[in-house]
Amino acid sequence: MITDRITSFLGVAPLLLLVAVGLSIMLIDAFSKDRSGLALTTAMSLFAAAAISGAIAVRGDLVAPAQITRYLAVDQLGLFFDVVICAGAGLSALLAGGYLKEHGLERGEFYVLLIFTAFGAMVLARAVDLLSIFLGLETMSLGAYALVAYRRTSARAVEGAVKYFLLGSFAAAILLFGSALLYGATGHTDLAGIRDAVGSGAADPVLTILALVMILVSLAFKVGAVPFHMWVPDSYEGAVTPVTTFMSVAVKAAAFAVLVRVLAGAFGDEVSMDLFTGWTPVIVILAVVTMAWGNLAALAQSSVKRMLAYSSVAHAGYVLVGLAATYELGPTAVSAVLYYVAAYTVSNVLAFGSLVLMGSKGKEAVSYEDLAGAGRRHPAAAAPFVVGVLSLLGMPPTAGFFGKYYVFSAAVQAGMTWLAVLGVLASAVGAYYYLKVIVYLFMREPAEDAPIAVPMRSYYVAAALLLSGYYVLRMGVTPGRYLDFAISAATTFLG
Amino acid sequence: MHEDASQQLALLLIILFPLAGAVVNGLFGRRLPRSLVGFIGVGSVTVSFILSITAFAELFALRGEGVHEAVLTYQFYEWFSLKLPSGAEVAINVRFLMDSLSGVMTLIVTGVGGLIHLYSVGYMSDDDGYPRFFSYLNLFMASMLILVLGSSLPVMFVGWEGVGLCSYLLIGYWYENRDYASAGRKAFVANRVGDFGVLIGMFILVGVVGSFEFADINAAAAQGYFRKDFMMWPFGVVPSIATVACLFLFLGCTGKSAQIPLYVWLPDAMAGPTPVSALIHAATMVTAGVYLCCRLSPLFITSDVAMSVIAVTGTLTALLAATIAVTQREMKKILAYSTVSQLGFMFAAVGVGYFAAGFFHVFTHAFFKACLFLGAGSVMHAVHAHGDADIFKLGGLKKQLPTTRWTFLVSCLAIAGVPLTSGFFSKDEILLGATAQIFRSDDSLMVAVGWFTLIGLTLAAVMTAFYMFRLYFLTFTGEYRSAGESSDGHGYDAHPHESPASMKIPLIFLGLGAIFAGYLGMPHITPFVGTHLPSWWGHWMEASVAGHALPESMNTINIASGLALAAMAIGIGSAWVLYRNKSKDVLAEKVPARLYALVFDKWRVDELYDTVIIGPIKQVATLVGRIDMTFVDALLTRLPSFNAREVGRFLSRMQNGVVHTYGMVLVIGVVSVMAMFWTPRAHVEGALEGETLQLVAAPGFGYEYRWDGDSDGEFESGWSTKRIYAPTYGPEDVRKIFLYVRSPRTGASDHYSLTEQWTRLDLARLDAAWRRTQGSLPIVARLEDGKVQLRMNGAQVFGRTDTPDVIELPTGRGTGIENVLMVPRATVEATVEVRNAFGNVSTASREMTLPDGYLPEQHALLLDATKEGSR
Repeated sequence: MITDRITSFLGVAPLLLLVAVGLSIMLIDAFSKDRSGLALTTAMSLFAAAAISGAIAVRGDLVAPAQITRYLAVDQLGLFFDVVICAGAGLSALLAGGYLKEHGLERGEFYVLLIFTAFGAMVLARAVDLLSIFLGLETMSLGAYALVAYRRTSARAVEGAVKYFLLGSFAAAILLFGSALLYGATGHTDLAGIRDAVGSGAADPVLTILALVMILVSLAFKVGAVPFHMWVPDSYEGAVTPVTTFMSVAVKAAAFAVLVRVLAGAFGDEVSMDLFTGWTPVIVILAVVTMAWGNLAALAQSSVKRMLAYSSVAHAGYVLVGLAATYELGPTAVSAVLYYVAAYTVSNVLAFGSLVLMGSKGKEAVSYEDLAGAGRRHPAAAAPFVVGVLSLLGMPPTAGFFGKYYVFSAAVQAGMTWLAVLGVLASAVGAYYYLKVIVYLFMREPAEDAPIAVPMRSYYVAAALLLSGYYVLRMGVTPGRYLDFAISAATTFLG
Repeated sequence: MHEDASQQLALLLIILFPLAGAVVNGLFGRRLPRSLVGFIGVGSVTVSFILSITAFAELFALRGEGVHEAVLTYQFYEWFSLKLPSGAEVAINVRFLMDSLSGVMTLIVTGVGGLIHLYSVGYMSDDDGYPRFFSYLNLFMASMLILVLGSSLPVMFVGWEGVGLCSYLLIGYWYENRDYASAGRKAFVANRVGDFGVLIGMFILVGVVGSFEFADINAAAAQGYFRKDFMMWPFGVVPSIATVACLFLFLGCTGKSAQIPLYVWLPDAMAGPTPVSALIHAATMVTAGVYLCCRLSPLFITSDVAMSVIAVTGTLTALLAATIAVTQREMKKILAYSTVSQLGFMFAAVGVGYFAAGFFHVFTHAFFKACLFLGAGSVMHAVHAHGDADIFKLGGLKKQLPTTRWTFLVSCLAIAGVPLTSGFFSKDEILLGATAQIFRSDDSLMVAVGWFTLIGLTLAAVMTAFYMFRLYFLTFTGEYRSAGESSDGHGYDAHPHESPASMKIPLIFLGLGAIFAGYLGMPHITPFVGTHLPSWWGHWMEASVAGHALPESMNTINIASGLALAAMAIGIGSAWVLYRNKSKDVLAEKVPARLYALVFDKWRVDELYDTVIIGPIKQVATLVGRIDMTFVDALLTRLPSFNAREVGRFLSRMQNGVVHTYGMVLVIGVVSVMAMFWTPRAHVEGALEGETLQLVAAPGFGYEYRWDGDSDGEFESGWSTKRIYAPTYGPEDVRKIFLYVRSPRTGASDHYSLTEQWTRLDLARLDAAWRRTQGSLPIVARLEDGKVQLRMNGAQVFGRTDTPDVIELPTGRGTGIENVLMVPRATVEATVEVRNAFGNVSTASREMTLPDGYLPEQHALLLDATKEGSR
């Protein structure tokens, strides 16, 4: 039936839309010097993709439940990440629209790269086969390397990009190696088949363990978990701030999506997950180390941008706490992970976006000193910053509060109260450097004859802050419907 | 118990109207015109007064129909419920009750309160905080009415705390002045000390009675629930728990009603506006303590000790405050000490068991003291004195302020106890009560208390008449001593003027009350002739208030009346001689200067408290503050934050920017994660699957298991992937035998490892009802010949005398002896060996208790096995 064909294509419509827009921008950019509409076009098409995915998720009957190829799934989990990735990318595009113009960096390829990287992230989040995982990962990573190096005249940007590229290639190699071993152990490349083989004990145990370790490490690298986080501070700091934003939300979200799919999916049997002998203890240790290291290192930073980079490492630790609880709680824990990723996305956009807003051509706001007294000079510009850091800190009534609440309560329910306590202690450390932002904004005066960063004026940035600020508060006041989406995604995924 | 009458909504409305007034004026008062604010403030109380009258009329009608214990109630809702240690559930209802006691009190509060509200309209007219003032005043009315109408201690306590709060707010009403604000704080702290006593008293009462309702407590007291000996540190055994409860409650009363030792706040409370002094610190709130004693009079009267303490405290307070009042030079200060002194009279009446008389004095005092305060306010208003007025700068005001003068004079006559004024009747009854105690009691302590009270109160009455007329003469007679001075100098306004009508009307009404209110308590006799006591008041009150019967003997009555009259005459007479038309403090010249100064400094009690109580507390606070700064802030706050920062620095130094390092870390990470899978995890647990005991080993990737169910070193199975194993155990596998004892009633349990040596059993904590003879050996157990033996060592199962000395228990089955369950149990040990895919092996063992009844074999076998098993 032709309608079946249409509905099944509807499942990949967001992907197709992004490819079409990306190609069009490339074409147009070749012939037109006018780049004023690119940011808006990019953002709108990403939001449109998010809207389509959201609509499909709500109207489950619009699309055939089966996957349209054996490589990509069209399930609630994928759609959830579609929305998160596209929203994060779209908001980053809006930030870029203001930032690049202000700093005279606007070129067409930026938006093309952004769209294709987002496309790669979406593919990765939907991938249900080792092949599509690798392809998605590489599509996403290549775009991300280029984006980090976007300000090519800056040595730091190039340095960050090269490091990211080298280490990323290394990690990709490990992933590929692990995938090959897994295929060897199970005879399957699709995650469902691997799960059957591993669960039934038919797979060769030595190969399976080697494969699990390698895949786990390479994905931990992608989410920036300690000790595989070394690339994060350098590349986050080197990249232009909208790219940092994009990396910390969309790219990271996709990495978490594939981590959930591989660990809770392919290795979701009781033995592989076991609390003592499976991957759960590995994740627990990673979570503890990541939370501690991320927060403590963030404490020592004098650059707000670098602090936010370390804080994004710390946040990966909180998400891993939720993942660690999956062994005991299943869907509840996964939904906590999903909610956290979504809440973190909007909160982080708000914080980074505010940092973008606080500077303008000639003087970008980067360090705490740059923010000194800005809150009193420009209260309206500082307000979103306050909301953003409070949400990252996990203060009610913001999205970040419920994110932490669900994750930690999952840990408590799973009998890992000590892990939740560690998480709360780590957040308490985090309070120091997040509140330091507010202290500098409102209670410090800039040093004599220091250059003062003046907030830029941009409707794009303002729109991004308004949107993300709205969702930060919305998800903090009425988390119900977003949590429902996360729960339905987690439940359908884990069956 | 009173039976529940139909719901009287009026009782709720009486409270809600002032509350609504407080809310409206508090929230919107600043935006409303002043006239409306005043209207809401006065109107809400007036409505409340009218409702009180209708409710009281209904109550009166009920009494007329011959219902002796007539009550009106309104059950609002159930507030919360409480589980007592005894297991009983106590529902605490927001329930209001009007009986003859609370009915009268409600009328006083709303009636006098309404007049004072009206007075405030004029008095406060120039103040910026007008809406705030009326809001507080209305809130006070609502709280006071909750206090009066609440049918149980917790509801009353809400009002009790509410009036304390309002008192604090209103004393510190002019909070810009530091002294006034600290006077408010002093009042609040003194009251909180007392409140602590009320809470403890309340908890004792609910513990004994199981209910917070006044009616239940009083009924229980009447039935003698409280006549239990009670061990109280440091007094040893006190004769009844009522004494303890009453003394704690009385501590609360000394706070609220300004008695020794907590009276010190009341004189300072005159910092508030004068209407506040009249309403809260004279007529209503400060009498709450007397009200509480009357409310619980059946309880108080059961404890002679508590009653004596109250009588002595009241008398001492009356004397002490009266001496201070004699020397003061400011109008409101004198009236404040006079209030403390009169409250002492009331408590003395309560203490000698004449609750109705004490409460009658509350009633009459409300009129004349409110009138006196408002009169003082009128004088201050007239001469533009702020805060207080020095009587030595006044004088001769009878010409300018006729209304104020006449009402003031009438009230002075009443408080001095001139015959046929209200104060005469009430004070006379108090002295009568003290006299009666002397004649009634056989107990020498009670007689002594009676004598002390009678003499003390008579002296206090002399001084009362004296200082009141000293105040009157210096203020209203002679020449005006501030004439010709400007108002911004040291004196007052040169041209005093009479107050507006809104201030005069309350004065007139209260003055009338000061004369005529007493007739409710007029005895149906004339001295020397008739015999009919008690009065109408006494009849009305006896429905809700306990107390001794008034004496019939004319001797007693004549002694009391004679003393009262003599005291009044001496007091007024000496004031006439010393102060009429005078302008100097003549008394000060006639007594030793140092004594006079000591009394003028209020016996330096405040200074004593400062040195003995407040000083040490401040020192401790300073010390704790230092500890906080040095220990908590430095060691617990700075040090960890310093550490965290340093660790952070170290960690970010690891980020050295060299990409080789990063790659190296990545590889180390892979190896570390790999290492987590290198050795297998051995772990075994026992689980009961139906009747069989199963051993379950932890799962893992490619794990293989080998089992040794009895840990004898020989594996019963070969390597397999089965991680569940169900061995069978025989007696030869037993490792240890222990005795498990449990009390099914309390759920407490113990277990004892047994050998052939006797092991002592500590059964006392299991609540075993075994009787042991004094000095005997403890109960012991051991393994003997395959059985568990108990040796009782002379202990007898409760209620029997033939308990055998040695009892044998069958193994593996529970045996109940008396109320203790005893089960001998056996343990075995299981071992599993685990091999993972890398060929690494680990071992785990676990000792498990076999389920009861698991071993079917003979007990004899068990013991042999155990002997062998101790390898």
